[in-house]
Amino acid sequence: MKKLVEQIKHIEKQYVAGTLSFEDIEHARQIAQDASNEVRQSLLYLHATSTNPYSSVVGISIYEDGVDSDGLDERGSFRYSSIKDALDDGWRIIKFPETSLAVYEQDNYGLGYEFVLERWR
Amino acid sequence: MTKPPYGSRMDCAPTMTDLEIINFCRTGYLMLPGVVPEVVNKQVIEYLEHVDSSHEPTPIVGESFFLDEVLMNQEAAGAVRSLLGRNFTLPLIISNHRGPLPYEKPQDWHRDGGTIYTSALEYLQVFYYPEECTEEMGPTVLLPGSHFMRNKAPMMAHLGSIKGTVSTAAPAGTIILTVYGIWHRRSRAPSGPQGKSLYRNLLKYNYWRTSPPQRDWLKDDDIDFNTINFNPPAGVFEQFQGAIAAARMFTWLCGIESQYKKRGGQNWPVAPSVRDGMNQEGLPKALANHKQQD
Repeated sequence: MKKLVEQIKHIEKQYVAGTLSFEDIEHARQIAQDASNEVRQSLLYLHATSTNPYSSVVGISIYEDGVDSDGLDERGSFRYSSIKDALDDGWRIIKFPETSLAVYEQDNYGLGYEFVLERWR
Repeated sequence: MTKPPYGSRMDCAPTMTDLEIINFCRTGYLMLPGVVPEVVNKQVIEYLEHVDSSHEPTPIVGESFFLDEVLMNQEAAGAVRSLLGRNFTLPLIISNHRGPLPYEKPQDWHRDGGTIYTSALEYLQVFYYPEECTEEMGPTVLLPGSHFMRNKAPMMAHLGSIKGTVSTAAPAGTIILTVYGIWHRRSRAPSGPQGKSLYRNLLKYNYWRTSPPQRDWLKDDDIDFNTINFNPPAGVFEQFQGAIAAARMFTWLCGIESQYKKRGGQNWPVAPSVRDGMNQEGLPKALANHKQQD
Protein backbone atom coordinates (compact mmCIF):
# COMPACT_ATOMS: atom_id res chain seq x y z
CA MET A 1 0.00 0.00 0.00
CA LYS A 2 2.84 2.37 0.89
CA LYS A 3 4.43 1.88 -2.54
CA LEU A 4 1.13 2.58 -4.24
CA VAL A 5 0.59 5.80 -2.27
CA GLU A 6 4.08 6.96 -3.21
CA GLN A 7 3.46 6.20 -6.86
CA ILE A 8 0.17 8.12 -6.83
CA LYS A 9 1.98 11.10 -5.27
CA HIS A 10 4.52 10.80 -8.07
CA ILE A 11 1.74 10.72 -10.66
CA GLU A 12 0.17 13.85 -9.14
CA LYS A 13 3.49 15.71 -9.38
CA GLN A 14 4.01 14.59 -12.95
CA TYR A 15 0.48 15.63 -13.86
CA VAL A 16 0.94 19.10 -12.34
CA ALA A 17 4.25 19.41 -14.19
CA GLY A 18 2.61 18.23 -17.40
CA THR A 19 5.03 15.32 -17.72
CA LEU A 20 2.74 12.44 -16.79
CA SER A 21 3.44 9.41 -18.94
CA PHE A 22 1.57 6.20 -19.64
CA GLU A 23 4.43 4.32 -17.95
CA ASP A 24 3.76 6.19 -14.68
CA ILE A 25 0.14 4.97 -14.69
CA GLU A 26 1.15 1.46 -15.77
CA HIS A 27 3.62 1.30 -12.89
CA ALA A 28 0.85 2.17 -10.41
CA ARG A 29 -1.38 -0.52 -11.89
CA GLN A 30 1.44 -3.07 -11.52
CA ILE A 31 2.02 -2.13 -7.87
CA ALA A 32 -1.70 -2.57 -7.13
CA GLN A 33 -1.73 -5.91 -8.91
CA ASP A 34 1.29 -7.18 -6.96
CA ALA A 35 -0.26 -6.08 -3.67
CA SER A 36 -3.49 -7.94 -4.33
CA ASN A 37 -1.50 -11.06 -5.24
CA GLU A 38 0.31 -10.94 -1.90
CA VAL A 39 -2.81 -10.82 0.22
CA ARG A 40 -3.85 -14.13 1.74
CA GLN A 41 -6.95 -15.18 3.60
CA SER A 42 -6.28 -16.37 7.15
CA LEU A 43 -8.77 -18.51 9.01
CA LEU A 44 -9.51 -18.65 12.71
CA TYR A 45 -11.77 -21.29 14.26
CA LEU A 46 -13.10 -20.48 17.70
CA HIS A 47 -15.19 -22.99 19.62
CA ALA A 48 -17.43 -21.22 22.08
CA THR A 49 -19.67 -22.36 24.90
CA SER A 50 -22.75 -20.81 23.29
CA THR A 51 -23.93 -19.09 20.14
CA ASN A 52 -23.40 -15.66 21.76
CA PRO A 53 -20.71 -13.95 19.66
CA TYR A 54 -19.13 -12.60 22.85
CA SER A 55 -18.98 -15.94 24.63
CA SER A 56 -15.82 -17.52 25.98
CA VAL A 57 -13.70 -19.90 23.97
CA VAL A 58 -12.90 -23.57 24.70
CA GLY A 59 -11.14 -24.39 21.45
CA ILE A 60 -8.98 -22.51 18.97
CA SER A 61 -7.09 -23.14 15.76
CA ILE A 62 -5.54 -20.70 13.32
CA TYR A 63 -4.59 -21.22 9.71
CA GLU A 64 -2.31 -18.28 8.89
CA ASP A 65 1.19 -18.13 7.44
CA GLY A 66 3.83 -18.16 10.15
CA VAL A 67 1.41 -18.84 12.99
CA ASP A 68 1.20 -22.08 14.96
CA SER A 69 -2.10 -23.70 14.04
CA ASP A 70 -2.78 -24.63 17.67
CA GLY A 71 -3.44 -20.95 18.36
CA LEU A 72 -1.30 -20.59 21.47
CA ASP A 73 0.83 -17.61 22.48
CA GLU A 74 4.37 -17.75 23.91
CA ARG A 75 3.02 -18.62 27.37
CA GLY A 76 0.92 -21.47 26.07
CA SER A 77 -2.38 -19.59 26.47
CA PHE A 78 -5.08 -19.25 23.83
CA ARG A 79 -4.35 -16.25 21.58
CA TYR A 80 -8.00 -15.25 21.98
CA SER A 81 -10.00 -16.07 25.08
CA SER A 82 -13.26 -14.82 23.63
CA ILE A 83 -14.70 -14.11 20.23
CA LYS A 84 -14.75 -10.42 21.12
CA ASP A 85 -10.95 -10.53 21.59
CA ALA A 86 -10.61 -11.82 18.05
CA LEU A 87 -12.99 -9.23 16.61
CA ASP A 88 -11.01 -6.50 18.37
CA ASP A 89 -7.87 -7.85 16.67
CA GLY A 90 -9.28 -7.39 13.19
CA TRP A 91 -10.91 -10.75 12.54
CA ARG A 92 -14.43 -10.87 11.13
CA ILE A 93 -16.94 -13.66 11.48
CA ILE A 94 -17.70 -15.43 8.22
CA LYS A 95 -19.68 -18.35 9.62
CA PHE A 96 -21.86 -18.67 12.68
CA PRO A 97 -22.45 -21.96 14.52
CA GLU A 98 -24.51 -24.50 12.60
CA THR A 99 -27.22 -25.08 15.19
CA SER A 100 -29.48 -26.95 12.81
CA LEU A 101 -27.08 -29.91 13.01
CA ALA A 102 -28.13 -30.58 16.62
CA VAL A 103 -31.02 -32.69 15.44
CA TYR A 104 -31.63 -34.64 18.65
CA GLU A 105 -31.71 -32.17 21.50
CA GLN A 106 -30.85 -34.81 24.12
CA ASP A 107 -27.58 -35.72 22.39
CA ASN A 108 -24.25 -33.92 22.59
CA TYR A 109 -22.61 -32.75 19.40
CA GLY A 110 -19.13 -31.60 18.51
CA LEU A 111 -16.93 -29.15 20.38
CA GLY A 112 -19.39 -26.48 21.41
CA TYR A 113 -20.38 -23.74 18.97
CA GLU A 114 -17.98 -23.08 16.12
CA PHE A 115 -17.38 -19.58 14.79
CA VAL A 116 -15.24 -19.26 11.68
CA LEU A 117 -13.43 -15.92 11.26
CA GLU A 118 -11.17 -14.49 8.58
CA ARG A 119 -8.71 -11.71 8.01
CA TRP A 120 -6.62 -10.82 4.99
CA ARG A 121 -2.87 -10.24 5.23
CA MET B 1 5.26 -73.73 20.43
CA THR B 2 1.77 -73.29 21.84
CA LYS B 3 -0.66 -71.00 20.13
CA PRO B 4 -0.77 -67.50 21.67
CA PRO B 5 -3.93 -67.03 23.78
CA TYR B 6 -5.60 -64.56 21.44
CA GLY B 7 -9.16 -63.89 22.56
CA SER B 8 -8.92 -66.25 25.55
CA ARG B 9 -11.37 -65.66 28.37
CA MET B 10 -9.70 -64.47 31.54
CA ASP B 11 -10.71 -63.57 35.05
CA CYS B 12 -9.12 -61.97 38.08
CA ALA B 13 -10.11 -59.91 41.09
CA PRO B 14 -11.71 -56.51 40.40
CA THR B 15 -9.80 -53.54 41.77
CA MET B 16 -12.01 -50.52 41.12
CA THR B 17 -14.46 -48.95 43.55
CA ASP B 18 -17.84 -47.40 42.81
CA LEU B 19 -16.32 -43.93 42.73
CA GLU B 20 -13.54 -45.02 40.38
CA ILE B 21 -16.08 -46.59 38.04
CA ILE B 22 -18.11 -43.37 38.08
CA ASN B 23 -14.97 -41.34 37.36
CA PHE B 24 -14.24 -43.61 34.42
CA CYS B 25 -17.76 -42.96 33.11
CA ARG B 26 -17.28 -39.18 33.57
CA THR B 27 -13.85 -38.94 31.98
CA GLY B 28 -13.70 -41.87 29.58
CA TYR B 29 -10.28 -42.98 30.73
CA LEU B 30 -8.22 -44.38 33.61
CA MET B 31 -4.47 -43.90 33.78
CA LEU B 32 -2.30 -46.33 35.73
CA PRO B 33 1.20 -44.81 35.86
CA GLY B 34 4.21 -47.14 35.89
CA VAL B 35 2.34 -50.32 36.80
CA VAL B 36 4.42 -52.65 34.62
CA PRO B 37 7.79 -53.60 36.18
CA GLU B 38 10.85 -52.08 34.53
CA VAL B 39 12.37 -55.48 33.74
CA VAL B 40 9.26 -56.32 31.70
CA ASN B 41 9.23 -52.95 29.96
CA LYS B 42 12.78 -53.66 28.81
CA GLN B 43 11.79 -57.10 27.52
CA VAL B 44 8.95 -55.50 25.57
CA ILE B 45 11.26 -52.88 24.02
CA GLU B 46 13.75 -55.61 23.15
CA TYR B 47 10.94 -57.50 21.42
CA LEU B 48 9.74 -54.43 19.53
CA GLU B 49 13.26 -53.56 18.41
CA HIS B 50 14.63 -56.98 17.49
CA VAL B 51 11.81 -59.51 17.09
CA ASP B 52 8.90 -57.61 15.58
CA SER B 53 9.26 -53.94 14.73
CA SER B 54 6.09 -53.88 12.66
CA HIS B 55 3.02 -51.80 13.39
CA GLU B 56 1.20 -54.96 14.48
CA PRO B 57 3.44 -57.11 16.68
CA THR B 58 0.46 -59.23 17.72
CA PRO B 59 2.44 -62.45 18.39
CA ILE B 60 3.87 -60.75 21.49
CA VAL B 61 0.68 -62.00 23.15
CA GLY B 62 2.35 -65.43 23.17
CA GLU B 63 5.27 -64.18 25.29
CA SER B 64 4.74 -65.01 28.95
CA PHE B 65 6.27 -61.72 30.14
CA PHE B 66 3.74 -59.82 28.06
CA LEU B 67 0.76 -61.97 28.95
CA ASP B 68 1.45 -62.13 32.68
CA GLU B 69 2.85 -58.68 33.38
CA VAL B 70 1.19 -56.46 30.77
CA LEU B 71 -2.10 -57.94 29.56
CA MET B 72 -2.81 -59.55 32.93
CA ASN B 73 -0.95 -56.98 34.98
CA GLN B 74 -2.60 -57.04 38.37
CA GLU B 75 -3.72 -53.40 38.40
CA ALA B 76 -4.58 -53.13 34.73
CA ALA B 77 -6.40 -56.47 34.47
CA GLY B 78 -8.15 -55.70 37.76
CA ALA B 79 -9.47 -52.50 36.22
CA VAL B 80 -10.46 -54.34 33.02
CA ARG B 81 -12.26 -56.97 35.13
CA SER B 82 -14.05 -54.20 37.05
CA LEU B 83 -15.30 -52.54 33.87
CA LEU B 84 -15.95 -55.57 31.65
CA GLY B 85 -16.97 -58.19 34.18
CA ARG B 86 -15.89 -61.80 34.52
CA ASN B 87 -14.36 -63.72 31.62
CA PHE B 88 -13.27 -60.73 29.57
CA THR B 89 -11.29 -61.70 26.49
CA LEU B 90 -7.66 -61.01 25.72
CA PRO B 91 -6.80 -58.86 22.68
CA LEU B 92 -6.84 -60.29 19.16
CA ILE B 93 -4.63 -57.58 17.76
CA ILE B 94 -1.74 -55.60 19.24
CA SER B 95 -0.92 -52.38 17.40
CA ASN B 96 2.25 -50.42 17.92
CA HIS B 97 2.00 -46.72 17.19
CA ARG B 98 5.70 -46.21 16.57
CA GLY B 99 5.80 -42.46 16.48
CA PRO B 100 8.92 -41.00 14.87
CA LEU B 101 11.12 -38.73 17.03
CA PRO B 102 11.18 -35.82 16.67
CA TYR B 103 7.83 -35.12 15.04
CA GLU B 104 6.99 -31.53 14.24
CA LYS B 105 3.25 -31.45 13.75
CA PRO B 106 0.63 -32.77 16.13
CA GLN B 107 -1.68 -35.42 14.76
CA ASP B 108 -5.22 -34.39 13.84
CA TRP B 109 -7.79 -34.80 16.58
CA HIS B 110 -9.86 -37.91 15.96
CA ARG B 111 -11.93 -40.68 17.39
CA ASP B 112 -10.87 -44.12 16.24
CA GLY B 113 -12.65 -45.81 13.34
CA GLY B 114 -15.72 -47.85 14.20
CA THR B 115 -16.75 -45.69 17.16
CA ILE B 116 -20.39 -45.77 18.16
CA TYR B 117 -21.93 -43.58 20.83
CA THR B 118 -23.63 -45.71 23.43
CA SER B 119 -23.95 -46.13 27.17
CA ALA B 120 -22.88 -49.76 26.74
CA LEU B 121 -19.24 -50.55 27.51
CA GLU B 122 -18.66 -53.73 25.52
CA TYR B 123 -14.92 -53.29 25.13
CA LEU B 124 -11.98 -51.19 26.23
CA GLN B 125 -9.24 -49.59 24.22
CA VAL B 126 -5.98 -49.78 26.14
CA PHE B 127 -2.67 -47.96 25.65
CA TYR B 128 0.67 -49.06 27.09
CA TYR B 129 3.97 -47.14 27.11
CA PRO B 130 6.89 -49.55 27.49
CA GLU B 131 9.30 -46.60 27.73
CA GLU B 132 8.93 -43.27 29.45
CA CYS B 133 7.01 -40.83 27.26
CA THR B 134 7.86 -37.24 28.15
CA GLU B 135 5.93 -34.17 27.01
CA GLU B 136 8.65 -33.65 24.39
CA MET B 137 8.16 -37.13 22.90
CA GLY B 138 4.62 -36.50 21.65
CA PRO B 139 2.41 -38.24 24.17
CA THR B 140 -1.18 -38.95 23.26
CA VAL B 141 -3.50 -36.21 24.48
CA LEU B 142 -7.08 -37.02 25.50
CA LEU B 143 -10.17 -34.88 25.87
CA PRO B 144 -11.99 -36.15 29.00
CA GLY B 145 -15.74 -36.46 28.50
CA SER B 146 -15.48 -36.47 24.72
CA HIS B 147 -16.73 -40.06 24.52
CA PHE B 148 -20.17 -38.45 24.83
CA MET B 149 -19.54 -35.77 22.18
CA ARG B 150 -20.78 -36.94 18.82
CA ASN B 151 -18.57 -36.14 15.88
CA LYS B 152 -16.83 -37.66 12.91
CA ALA B 153 -13.06 -37.88 12.72
CA PRO B 154 -12.80 -36.02 9.37
CA MET B 155 -14.81 -33.19 10.93
CA MET B 156 -12.29 -32.80 13.77
CA ALA B 157 -9.23 -32.37 11.57
CA HIS B 158 -9.20 -28.57 11.80
CA LEU B 159 -9.33 -28.50 15.61
CA GLY B 160 -6.29 -27.22 17.47
CA SER B 161 -5.98 -26.41 21.15
CA ILE B 162 -8.86 -27.48 23.37
CA LYS B 163 -9.43 -26.54 27.01
CA GLY B 164 -9.34 -29.37 29.54
CA THR B 165 -7.25 -31.83 27.58
CA VAL B 166 -5.08 -34.32 29.47
CA SER B 167 -1.59 -35.37 28.45
CA THR B 168 -0.65 -39.01 28.90
CA ALA B 169 3.04 -38.19 29.36
CA ALA B 170 4.05 -40.84 31.85
CA PRO B 171 6.80 -43.11 33.12
CA ALA B 172 7.62 -46.42 31.48
CA GLY B 173 5.10 -49.12 32.23
CA THR B 174 2.04 -46.85 32.18
CA ILE B 175 -1.24 -48.37 31.07
CA ILE B 176 -4.26 -46.27 30.11
CA LEU B 177 -7.76 -47.68 29.76
CA THR B 178 -10.14 -45.70 27.55
CA VAL B 179 -13.62 -45.69 26.16
CA TYR B 180 -12.95 -46.41 22.50
CA GLY B 181 -14.58 -43.25 21.13
CA ILE B 182 -12.66 -40.75 23.27
CA TRP B 183 -11.17 -37.88 21.23
CA HIS B 184 -7.39 -38.01 21.11
CA ARG B 185 -4.30 -37.16 19.11
CA ARG B 186 -0.56 -37.49 19.30
CA SER B 187 0.97 -34.17 20.32
CA ARG B 188 4.02 -32.71 18.62
CA ALA B 189 7.37 -34.21 19.60
CA PRO B 190 10.19 -31.63 19.63
CA SER B 191 12.60 -34.09 21.24
CA GLY B 192 14.69 -36.80 19.64
CA PRO B 193 14.85 -40.32 21.12
CA GLN B 194 15.56 -40.43 24.83
CA GLY B 195 15.29 -44.13 25.51
CA LYS B 196 16.62 -47.23 23.85
CA SER B 197 14.13 -47.07 21.01
CA LEU B 198 14.35 -44.55 18.20
CA TYR B 199 10.57 -44.26 18.41
CA ARG B 200 7.85 -43.42 20.83
CA ASN B 201 6.36 -46.90 21.16
CA LEU B 202 2.73 -46.98 22.16
CA LEU B 203 1.01 -50.35 22.19
CA LYS B 204 -2.73 -50.31 21.70
CA TYR B 205 -5.17 -53.19 22.11
CA ASN B 206 -8.74 -54.08 23.03
CA TYR B 207 -10.35 -56.31 25.64
CA TRP B 208 -13.94 -57.44 25.16
CA ARG B 209 -16.80 -58.24 27.51
CA THR B 210 -18.46 -61.65 27.56
CA SER B 211 -20.60 -61.32 30.72
CA PRO B 212 -23.71 -59.19 31.20
CA PRO B 213 -22.92 -56.01 33.15
CA GLN B 214 -23.43 -56.01 36.91
CA ARG B 215 -22.14 -54.09 39.90
CA ASP B 216 -19.58 -56.69 40.89
CA TRP B 217 -16.55 -54.47 41.38
CA LEU B 218 -15.50 -53.24 44.85
CA LYS B 219 -18.83 -52.01 46.20
CA ASP B 220 -18.92 -49.24 48.75
CA ASP B 221 -21.93 -49.88 50.96
CA ASP B 222 -21.86 -46.36 52.40
CA ILE B 223 -21.81 -44.51 49.10
CA ASP B 224 -24.69 -42.10 48.45
CA PHE B 225 -25.35 -41.95 44.70
CA ASN B 226 -27.56 -38.91 45.25
CA THR B 227 -24.73 -36.55 46.08
CA ILE B 228 -22.15 -37.50 43.48
CA ASN B 229 -21.13 -35.15 40.69
CA PHE B 230 -21.42 -37.03 37.40
CA ASN B 231 -20.38 -34.09 35.20
CA PRO B 232 -17.48 -34.77 32.83
CA PRO B 233 -14.51 -32.56 33.79
CA ALA B 234 -14.05 -31.20 30.25
CA GLY B 235 -15.73 -31.10 26.89
CA VAL B 236 -18.72 -28.96 26.03
CA PHE B 237 -22.21 -29.95 27.10
CA GLU B 238 -25.51 -28.24 27.55
CA GLN B 239 -26.14 -27.95 31.30
CA PHE B 240 -26.50 -31.42 32.90
CA GLN B 241 -26.33 -33.36 29.62
CA GLY B 242 -22.80 -34.63 30.25
CA ALA B 243 -23.73 -35.82 33.73
CA ILE B 244 -26.83 -37.50 32.37
CA ALA B 245 -24.77 -39.38 29.79
CA ALA B 246 -22.22 -40.48 32.43
CA ALA B 247 -24.96 -41.61 34.82
CA ARG B 248 -26.62 -43.60 32.09
CA MET B 249 -23.32 -45.35 31.35
CA PHE B 250 -22.92 -46.10 35.08
CA THR B 251 -26.40 -47.63 35.29
CA TRP B 252 -25.61 -49.73 32.23
CA LEU B 253 -22.44 -50.98 33.92
CA CYS B 254 -24.47 -51.79 37.04
CA GLY B 255 -26.86 -53.80 34.86
CA ILE B 256 -29.78 -51.56 35.87
CA GLU B 257 -30.18 -49.29 32.87
CA SER B 258 -33.82 -50.37 32.63
CA GLN B 259 -34.38 -48.73 36.04
CA TYR B 260 -33.01 -45.44 34.76
CA LYS B 261 -35.94 -43.32 33.66
CA LYS B 262 -34.92 -40.00 32.28
CA ARG B 263 -38.00 -37.94 33.03
CA GLY B 264 -36.38 -34.59 32.34
CA GLY B 265 -35.76 -31.52 34.48
CA GLN B 266 -34.00 -32.16 37.77
CA ASN B 267 -34.14 -35.92 37.42
CA TRP B 268 -31.10 -37.82 38.85
CA PRO B 269 -28.18 -37.18 38.62
CA VAL B 270 -28.56 -33.42 38.11
CA ALA B 271 -29.51 -32.41 41.68
CA PRO B 272 -26.62 -33.61 43.89
CA SER B 273 -27.41 -30.98 46.52
CA VAL B 274 -30.38 -32.94 47.92
CA ARG B 275 -30.30 -32.96 51.72
CA ASP B 276 -30.90 -35.19 54.70
CA GLY B 277 -30.41 -38.48 52.86
CA MET B 278 -33.24 -37.86 50.41
CA ASN B 279 -33.20 -39.65 47.08
CA GLN B 280 -33.21 -37.61 43.91
CA GLU B 281 -36.20 -37.99 41.64
CA GLY B 282 -35.58 -40.81 39.20
CA LEU B 283 -32.65 -42.43 41.03
CA PRO B 284 -32.66 -46.12 40.06
CA LYS B 285 -34.02 -48.22 42.94
CA ALA B 286 -30.89 -50.35 43.12
CA LEU B 287 -28.84 -47.22 43.86
CA ALA B 288 -31.30 -45.64 46.28
CA ASN B 289 -30.42 -44.51 49.75
CA HIS B 290 -32.61 -46.75 51.89
CA LYS B 291 -32.11 -44.53 54.94
CA GLN B 292 -34.65 -42.17 53.41
CA GLN B 293 -37.83 -41.94 55.48
CA ASP B 294 -40.99 -42.74 53.56
